[in-house]
Amino acid sequence: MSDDAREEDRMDALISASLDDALSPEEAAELAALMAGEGMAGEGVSGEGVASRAQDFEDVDAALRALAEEPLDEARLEASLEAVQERLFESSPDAAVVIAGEAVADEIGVDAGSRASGRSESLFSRIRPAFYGGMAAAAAAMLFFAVGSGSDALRPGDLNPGGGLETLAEEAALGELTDEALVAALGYGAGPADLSELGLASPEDLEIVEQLELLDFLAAREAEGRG
Amino acid sequence: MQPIDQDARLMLSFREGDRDALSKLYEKWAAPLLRYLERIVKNPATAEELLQDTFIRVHGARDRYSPDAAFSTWLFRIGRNLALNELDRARNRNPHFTADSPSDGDRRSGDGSDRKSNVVALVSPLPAQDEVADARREKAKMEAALGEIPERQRSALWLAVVEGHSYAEVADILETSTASVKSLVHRARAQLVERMQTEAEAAAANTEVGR
Repeated sequence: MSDDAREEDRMDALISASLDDALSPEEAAELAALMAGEGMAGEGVSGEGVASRAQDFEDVDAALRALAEEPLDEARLEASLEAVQERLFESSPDAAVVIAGEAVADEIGVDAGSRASGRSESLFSRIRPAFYGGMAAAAAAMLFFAVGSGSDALRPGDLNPGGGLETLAEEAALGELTDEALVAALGYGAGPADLSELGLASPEDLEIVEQLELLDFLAAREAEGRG
Repeated sequence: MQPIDQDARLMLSFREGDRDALSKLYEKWAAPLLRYLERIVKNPATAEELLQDTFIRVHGARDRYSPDAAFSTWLFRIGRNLALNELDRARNRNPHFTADSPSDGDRRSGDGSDRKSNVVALVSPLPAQDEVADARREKAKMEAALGEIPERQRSALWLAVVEGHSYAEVADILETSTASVKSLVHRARAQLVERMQTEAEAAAANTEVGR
């Protein structure tokens, strides 16, 4: 940087800080000297130069404030508030616990590595419905297989005392299978508490879910094409 | 002991279980935060999602909130970090992605395909003396110029000038020093002046060619 450029940069710094009331006493004295045409040797740095540059900066500030004065659509803000409340207060308590865990990284800033791990949690939260759907379908398939092969490890009614195997399979396909039945059918534990999303979702699980989603998507697109 | 401000009081009420307190904080801060997030991600729909995510994070971290720091500083820091994460994700999905790429949202707000002032001047059917059209063009130019400067400079200037945060508060949000904020703000102003002047010269040259 040339001497002139350095002086102009210094002048910019002083003017900018003065606009934000952030000048130290020494800097204020330096700026006053500049405005009086003293202090620096560069051609661009004169009393008039300072005043003109200050006006340029003030124009930029005014233009920025004008951008912020553009009215925001109130409906957008209200819809977002409703979405926040829905996500917070109508979701399960478990979800709130996960959210609290993520907040730490956001408060302190996150590096690329921790962002990557946050992404895998976020990925799961986005595909959670499909994941449970996939698990339900897998449970149904396991039950059919078990009965079809004559195994006595699982019998109709073992998992869903109130209904038969057909009912359970139908519930699974519709995504209405109870958490208890699903957890027990998959052998993950005794109840929904064991369906911990972070513990349960291995990379392999996620890959299967992604493949199921892709198949669903392709089937839907094909159906649309035919329609 | 320093008196705590209204926002901090609301946050403490929320921590005690008063859900309305969060709504009140949202009502006060959603619009400024959304405007700021739009300047980082340059896509209104993404900014809206980030706004929601930010308040979800506020909810999750309510027990760790300390009234020593201004609520708005804490809020904007969470929002900015989420926005930077989102930009990282977008870059990972598409290595050619830049937040400056025109998006649907940009086009909707008129600051994407209209980035160059000469284009703005050529496509506008209105004469220069039309004050409303002039103001709109100036805003589009400033929005475009703002989007072209580095994110840290843009954030520092926006938070200081538009949101009225002190340099110390901006430093807290950007997780840097006050001296660094001072430098970021002055360089942002200088860059915007230069870009706006270049745009004005290009527009004047186009006008000459058109005659």
